[in-house]
Amino acid sequence: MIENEINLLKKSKNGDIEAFEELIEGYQKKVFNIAFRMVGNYDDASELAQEVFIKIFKGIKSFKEESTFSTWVYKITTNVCLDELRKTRNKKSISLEEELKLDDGEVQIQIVDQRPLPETIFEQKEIKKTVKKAIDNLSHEHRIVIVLRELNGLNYEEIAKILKCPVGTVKSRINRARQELKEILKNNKELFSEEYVKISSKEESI
Amino acid sequence: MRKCTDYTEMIYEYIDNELDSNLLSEFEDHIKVCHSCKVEHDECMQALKLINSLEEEELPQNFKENLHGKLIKEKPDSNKKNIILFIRKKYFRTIGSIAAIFIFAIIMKGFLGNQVSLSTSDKSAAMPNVALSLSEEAAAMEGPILSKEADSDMKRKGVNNDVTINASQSTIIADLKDVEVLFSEDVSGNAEKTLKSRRIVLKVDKPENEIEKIKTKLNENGAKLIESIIDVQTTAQFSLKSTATPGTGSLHIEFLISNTEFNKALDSLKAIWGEDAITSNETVLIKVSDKINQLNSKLLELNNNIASFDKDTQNNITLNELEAEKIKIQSQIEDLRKDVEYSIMSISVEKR
Repeated sequence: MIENEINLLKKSKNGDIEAFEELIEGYQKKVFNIAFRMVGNYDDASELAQEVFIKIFKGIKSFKEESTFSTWVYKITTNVCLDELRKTRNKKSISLEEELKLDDGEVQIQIVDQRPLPETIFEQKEIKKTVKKAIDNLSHEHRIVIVLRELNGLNYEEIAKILKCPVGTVKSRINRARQELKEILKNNKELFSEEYVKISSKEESI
Repeated sequence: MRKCTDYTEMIYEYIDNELDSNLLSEFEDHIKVCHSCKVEHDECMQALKLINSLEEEELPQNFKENLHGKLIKEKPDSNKKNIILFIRKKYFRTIGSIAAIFIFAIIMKGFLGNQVSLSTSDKSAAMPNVALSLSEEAAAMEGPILSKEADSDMKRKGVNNDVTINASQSTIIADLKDVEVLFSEDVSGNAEKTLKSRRIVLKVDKPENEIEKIKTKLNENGAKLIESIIDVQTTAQFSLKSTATPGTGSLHIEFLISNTEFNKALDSLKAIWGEDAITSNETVLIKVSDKINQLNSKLLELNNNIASFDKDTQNNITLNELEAEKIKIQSQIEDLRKDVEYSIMSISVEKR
């Protein structure tokens, strides 16, 4: 832990709000993004992220520095998000169904649409929407590891500490989650067509 | 001999660079020759690429301010009845207007506002008359409301702590010192009170033409103009005229208004420009003692200016302007001190 963080932590433990705010400055966006990917809704994510920081502030005295501060922050974030998802599980499944209703009232069964892929910005947006929906369709257990690993770039070991399970478990869970996500995304064959793969790798090389 | 399923199990470890070195070359050799494993590998790569195409979302607007408010409530030793907010420099910027700009605007006004100089060499003799009749130029720049307010403040002379602008300079300074002591004592007694700042964005068709109407409407509802209009478009140089430079799309005005009158005033605005003209209505809490301290330091500054006024003949600000300013600030402090149930209604007027 860097000296400044130790110092801010000490002040935060004494109830210094300014120090606390400085301490969490770098985490706010990350925590919000984890919450957003977990609950899939901007407003709820904002509320949850605030709840996370309030919890951290209230519990900061009990933070023993056995783990790093960042692990502790992500641990609380993960718990708050998973709790919320557990609470709203039933509600969520209804709202998802509603979302899938098309304008003419038909229910869309496929998560992804099958339209062809023009290489436009609009199309990029569509791809992101498809990926987002695919992530939303993962189980909570799989979603959290994908969010931590792929979207936050945490390594296996960090994730293991956050989720309090062995590294091996994390590894296999991540792989299963990736596999599940791949299968969902593969429903949209265009995203995996040889041509598209080529285009996207070309884009990357630029 | 390994089977294809063994190799496909390794794909993600390979991609993550976590495959043991002895397995690494074996894996690479295998996908060179096994088409199905190569396809599987490419698909995994593609899936990860798609997942990683999601970008990080920006924090919602006001996330930090809202969190700050919640943290205050959670602070162990905070008084639950009076929620205290400490306004930090950082927040001044975010809040955009409330105190920092407000104070700065006063300063700007004090020093740069009206380029009117006292023409007569006999300042002390001319003072009372000048005070009551601002030159035409000054009145035009200030706008009707401000000069009216200055007049009414002057008429109230003697009511607030016996400050009178018609007295000699030395008397004024002496009185002001007393006033300051009185205020700071009171501040320590009421340090935990908060003041609400309500930020409103009113969207109108021609912001620069609607200002007078807004001011009149709010005055009718008991709101007091506490600062001139700040031209948001050119925040670097606050416009202190009563109307903004034509063509700019956005203005900023601040009023002191009692909480009980707030909704009425808001309804008043809605009645004129329509419900949908108000696009944002947020509340920020300000620690009242901080606000008073700021005003007090401004008062001190004005005092110093008045004290050094005689010596500085190059100064192009009239003494009575400084004093009108002083009285204005005093009455603001008075209002804040007496009644924390006041709000600062800070209105941004924007083009629809």
